[in-house]
Amino acid sequence: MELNEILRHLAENRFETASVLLFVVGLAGMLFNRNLFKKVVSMGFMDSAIFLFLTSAGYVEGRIAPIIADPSVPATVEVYSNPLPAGLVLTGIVVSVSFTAFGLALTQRLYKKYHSLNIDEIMMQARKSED
Amino acid sequence: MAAIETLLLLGLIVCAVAANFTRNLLPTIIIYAAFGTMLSVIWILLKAPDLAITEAAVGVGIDTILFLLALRSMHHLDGTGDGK
Amino acid sequence: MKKPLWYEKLERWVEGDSPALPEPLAHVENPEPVKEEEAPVQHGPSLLRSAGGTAMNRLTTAFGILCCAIFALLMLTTVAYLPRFGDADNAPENETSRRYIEQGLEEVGATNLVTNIILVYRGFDTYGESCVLFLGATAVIMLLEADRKNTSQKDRLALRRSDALDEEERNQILGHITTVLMPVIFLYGLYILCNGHLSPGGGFAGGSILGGALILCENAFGARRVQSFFNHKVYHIIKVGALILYAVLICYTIYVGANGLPNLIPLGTPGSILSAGIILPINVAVGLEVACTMYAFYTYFGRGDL
Repeated sequence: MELNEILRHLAENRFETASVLLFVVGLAGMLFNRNLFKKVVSMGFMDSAIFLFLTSAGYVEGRIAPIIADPSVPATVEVYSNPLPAGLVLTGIVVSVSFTAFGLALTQRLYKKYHSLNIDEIMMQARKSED
Repeated sequence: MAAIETLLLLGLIVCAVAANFTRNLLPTIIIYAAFGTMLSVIWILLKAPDLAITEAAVGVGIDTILFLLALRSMHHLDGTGDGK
Repeated sequence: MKKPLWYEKLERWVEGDSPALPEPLAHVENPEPVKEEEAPVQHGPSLLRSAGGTAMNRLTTAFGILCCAIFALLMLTTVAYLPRFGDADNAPENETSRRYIEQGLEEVGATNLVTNIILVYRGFDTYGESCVLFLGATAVIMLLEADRKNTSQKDRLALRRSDALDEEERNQILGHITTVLMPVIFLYGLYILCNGHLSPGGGFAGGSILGGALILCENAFGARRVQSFFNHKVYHIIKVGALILYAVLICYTIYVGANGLPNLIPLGTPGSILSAGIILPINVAVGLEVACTMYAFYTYFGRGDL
């Protein structure tokens, strides 16, 4: 594909593009931040990026949210947007909160022991205490 | 509609980048909450109201409280050297 | 630039004049977010950063940036080849979701199709996810519980002192407003919880709103007041009971469905509150589970105890 065409496709799939960029920003944050707290926050961004990608896959233009307004009318695919990705993401959001809490608890314990959030500092002190 | 969507998506990315460049940790948490709020508007635009309501309650409310509490209990703010 | 008042207040709260913590920490880290180069740590000779350390580190950083860039390029190229956003013949628009949309109301009975999927069609999946929540809360409790091993006598005294201090100068405004708002918030949470099969919401959202209401309660009236009705025993009973109720219901559904037996639980008229068979009890169970978990996260981060 031409570069122009690629850019046009990217602009059309703007939700997917944004989610990829978000994921990369989160990944970079996880890799380069020395601060454990910010690492947990970056992980949250990565989670959200994946949720955004999945949900945007289920969106179809012109269809309404998957809640049946009138039960007497038989539901058809042409009216409601896809409920499957939303169902997957819903559980994911709650799991990500669990993860955040767990990560923060670990961070807090590390802070209690080493009085620092900097990962280099913690590693240094840990090695020193090993010797 | 597309303009709003683009604006929100740009806002998401700006938030994610900005959260890495704060000197204090408290602004990071506030930025994270702003990120969650924007995301929950995006769920509405993507026709997933279930996600919007869950994100608003869980992702913004509980997550922010958790971060703030962890930060408080780590007494960390005086350590980040922003000057008060 | 002047900081706004709310920010200053928040800052003061986070810094905390609470004596519950170990002595003010003299030792601090530099949180400067490092993008290009590592911030050198100047504390004595280190194993990490001896002679060739910095060069090695720079190499690692460069490699990390390279990895991120390659990953971004790869994924962006993939996105460019994806079907157009919002198209009707996307990959997820297949017979599975067609079945869920067209038959969902007759087979399961909830008008909210997402609830149909997560609680009945994929109920086993969501059960595993509730277990993840349970495990998350258990892990946090294990890590943060202030028991005899990880807290000194001084810390415990400090905690008790701060509790007493809180009891004395309780915020009057917060207390009064909470008294007015509390029933409304609980009602809202219960509404979202019990209407999960009719409107957006359900166990996860409603449960976390209930958890938030409990957190507000704890803030306004003090931990002791909440402990009087929500202690360890109640917490364990609700948590384990909700999980077992969910397990029993989901096992029943799977057993009935797999053997083609008639379902004894009536589905009711779609759209009324007592409809959709097992969805309402499952929603309540999930909601209680989530509310307990959220409150446990809060109290264990704040006080190290329920």
